[in-house]
Amino acid sequence: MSKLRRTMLYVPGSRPSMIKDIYIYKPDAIMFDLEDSVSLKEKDSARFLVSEALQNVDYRGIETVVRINGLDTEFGQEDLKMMVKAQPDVIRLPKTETAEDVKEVEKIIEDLELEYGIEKGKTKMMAAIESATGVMNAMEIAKSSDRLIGIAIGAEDYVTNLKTKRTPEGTELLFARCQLLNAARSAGIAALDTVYSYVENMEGFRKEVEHIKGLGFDGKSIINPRQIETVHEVFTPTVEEYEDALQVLEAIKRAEESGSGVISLNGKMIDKPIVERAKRVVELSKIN
Amino acid sequence: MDKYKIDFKDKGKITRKSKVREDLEKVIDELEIQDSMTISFHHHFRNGDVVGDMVMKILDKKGIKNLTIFPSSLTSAHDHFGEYIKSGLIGRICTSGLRGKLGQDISSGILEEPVVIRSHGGRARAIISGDEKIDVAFIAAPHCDVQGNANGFEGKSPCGSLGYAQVDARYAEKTVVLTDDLTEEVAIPYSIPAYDVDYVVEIENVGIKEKIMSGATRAVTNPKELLIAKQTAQVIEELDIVKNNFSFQTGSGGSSLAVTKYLRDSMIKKNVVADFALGGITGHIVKLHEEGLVKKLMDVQSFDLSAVASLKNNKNHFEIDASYYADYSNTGNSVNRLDVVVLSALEIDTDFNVNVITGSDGVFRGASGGHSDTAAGSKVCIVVAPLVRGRIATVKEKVLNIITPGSTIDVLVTDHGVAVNPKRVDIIDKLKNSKVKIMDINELKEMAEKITGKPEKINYTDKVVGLIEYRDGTIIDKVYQVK
Amino acid sequence: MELLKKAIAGTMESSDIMVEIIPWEKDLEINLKSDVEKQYGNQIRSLVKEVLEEGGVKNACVNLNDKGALDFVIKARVKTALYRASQGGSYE
Repeated sequence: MSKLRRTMLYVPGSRPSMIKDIYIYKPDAIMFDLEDSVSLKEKDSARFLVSEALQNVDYRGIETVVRINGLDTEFGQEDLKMMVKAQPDVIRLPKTETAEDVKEVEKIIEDLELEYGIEKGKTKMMAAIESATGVMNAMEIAKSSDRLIGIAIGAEDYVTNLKTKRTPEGTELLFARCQLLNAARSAGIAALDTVYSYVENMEGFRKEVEHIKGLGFDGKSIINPRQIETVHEVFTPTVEEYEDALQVLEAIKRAEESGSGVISLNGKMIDKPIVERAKRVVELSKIN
Repeated sequence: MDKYKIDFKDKGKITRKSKVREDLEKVIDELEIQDSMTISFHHHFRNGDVVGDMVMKILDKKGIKNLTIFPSSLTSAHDHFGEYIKSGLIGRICTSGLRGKLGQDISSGILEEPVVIRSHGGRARAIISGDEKIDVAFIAAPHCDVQGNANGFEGKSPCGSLGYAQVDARYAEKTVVLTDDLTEEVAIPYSIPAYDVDYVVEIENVGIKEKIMSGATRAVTNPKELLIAKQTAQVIEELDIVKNNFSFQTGSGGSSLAVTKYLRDSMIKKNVVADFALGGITGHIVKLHEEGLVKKLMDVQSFDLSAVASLKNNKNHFEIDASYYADYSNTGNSVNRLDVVVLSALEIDTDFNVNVITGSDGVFRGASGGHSDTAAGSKVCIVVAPLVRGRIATVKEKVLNIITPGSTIDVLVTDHGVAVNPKRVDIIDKLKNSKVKIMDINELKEMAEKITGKPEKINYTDKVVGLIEYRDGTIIDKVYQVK
Repeated sequence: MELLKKAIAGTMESSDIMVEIIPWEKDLEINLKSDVEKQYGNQIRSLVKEVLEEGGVKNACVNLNDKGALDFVIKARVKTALYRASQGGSYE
């Protein structure tokens, strides 16, 4: 089964107290941020902190992601140099607008892997799309590199770029979300949704999670550990869905054993997509 | 017979106000307090306590020496008491808790005689059995009438239950009540009955209002505390404890406090009503009571104004004294009826022994409280704590000092995993097939050490600065002076 | 690594350590103020020394104010202070 990325928990790369034991909340992925949550004065210290953390702290097998500063800033290059060496699982690019943006960083990572004696291709990448141009180029971005494991939407910058603001209904994000999703699926990579900043509003949060799950997203960026439970719950199949899926797999098994070609269950034809979905439901259910 | 004959002119005037005095110093003179006596006071006013120091100042001025002070506990209000030790006023201390500057002073050896640390139940036992004889009890009361009936839930600075003080009043040679709300009207219901009181002194402020208690106990938002609390509530549920008429006690700090909220969710989901909640009562527990989820509240210490209001107004919110609460020798004590208690810990070792009195540097920074009492009495005792605090491991090979023996601790819930005392085969069985993953406590210890690095051993001298007395009166550990 | 000026890294937050490095002519001097002096004082001092030695630093005064930082945080803060003191020179 493809890697679970239901929750990607943000940690500011400048806070030792959070970095040291963030794994206790068991998100599917941890994103150490060197970019927007770190002040300009502390870009260097955050870099060292995350580097040492990655090399010394046992993150219990949780996927580690580092969001570097863009190459268009004075920090991006140094971030890459130190981070590739520290070997997180994924390097996340902010504000990606074109396939070129990804390829530029990919080249640097490749050179660094060679220099440090790291297996070529080991460092994966993720691209965050946060502008209208990026959204329009989602397809080329999603296909730009073998290292790319997913694309994400960064809503705050995007809606500002659109000259509007975020609403609970999220209509202003619908196009971007769908565009990203389709691009991700076309390229066979993951699609992650943006953060929800109102930590106290658990109801609003749940609505948004249900909405993006319905659209087809793989998961969501999380800014507070308290949000993790809701996302994992929403992404967990219900008992009915689980039992239905088991029935489908049973039907397939029976059909295979009896050598019959077409499979039907309860009067409905079961073809490949349905089987795929059923398999995924069973696997997701087993997690919980 | 003559003694009781009253001249008709004096009828109705004699006993009504005869105990009232304006001047605490005059009362102290009248009491003829001498060197080496034992005086007591309570800590229901917590950091806002002023009476303890008020009494000390006067006694110090009079040149009294070598007193045993026997408060129910010591707080930051008593931080400067080291001065009274240096002046020779204090020669011995018995308390439940010792922290802050005074804790450091004692750990560095300024007191010749070791401090005796007792639990709340243990203190009551010591008083009732006569092991400790109180010569004078000074009791600060928010509300008192001229005859000496006092309570803690009325007046301008209420503190709620006076549970710890009730035992003092009953057994002390002499009892002095100090209040800033003296009334002619009879103070019923009383916490302290007039017949246990010898003197009533009116003072300006019985406590520093803002420091006594908060308006409301804060809601827990710290994600780590919530994580631990949620896991604890899950354990409680899997152990089948949440059933109609169950009883519980939760603490007032961090994770322990948050457990109350998750317990509530569980009770609502299962349509369960608890028989009673015990302890330190917070507004969170009062809420459960007022929602009809908990039938009765047994209150030995009220933690916020919400609890105080409830004590005053809710007829099923009862004030209980320290002996009824937790005294090992009291055949009717409440801790023996607890189904579950959730406690905290500074340190816990691989034998499940718990230390809540000294920090990992060997210095006094905590309190015995009701820890060992509730652990021993309850059916299931759960300790909650983060695996590591800063750079200090909570789980280690051996605790520096034992307050609660491991045989009474059943489950440890940390943010890194849950461990069960191997003796509790029944609990292990129940949790084996549940969603709660159990780890070996040694695994947790290793994990903690890997994170913090191995600490150096604390260097002590030979001088004993503290004796830890278990609830049955036996000394179970000694605290040594830190070098 | 050559130290060109004094530099500070880290904060006074819990689990952090504030590191001040002042280049001077005298030998290496490490001054530690720590919440966990008794348990980890020596360990912290020797770790700081190790990091400085790796960076080839022999003549500096290092003032540390520790709030219970774990080893990886101490390493990171010392390396950051060195980086700032050498004005961005390569750590290697």
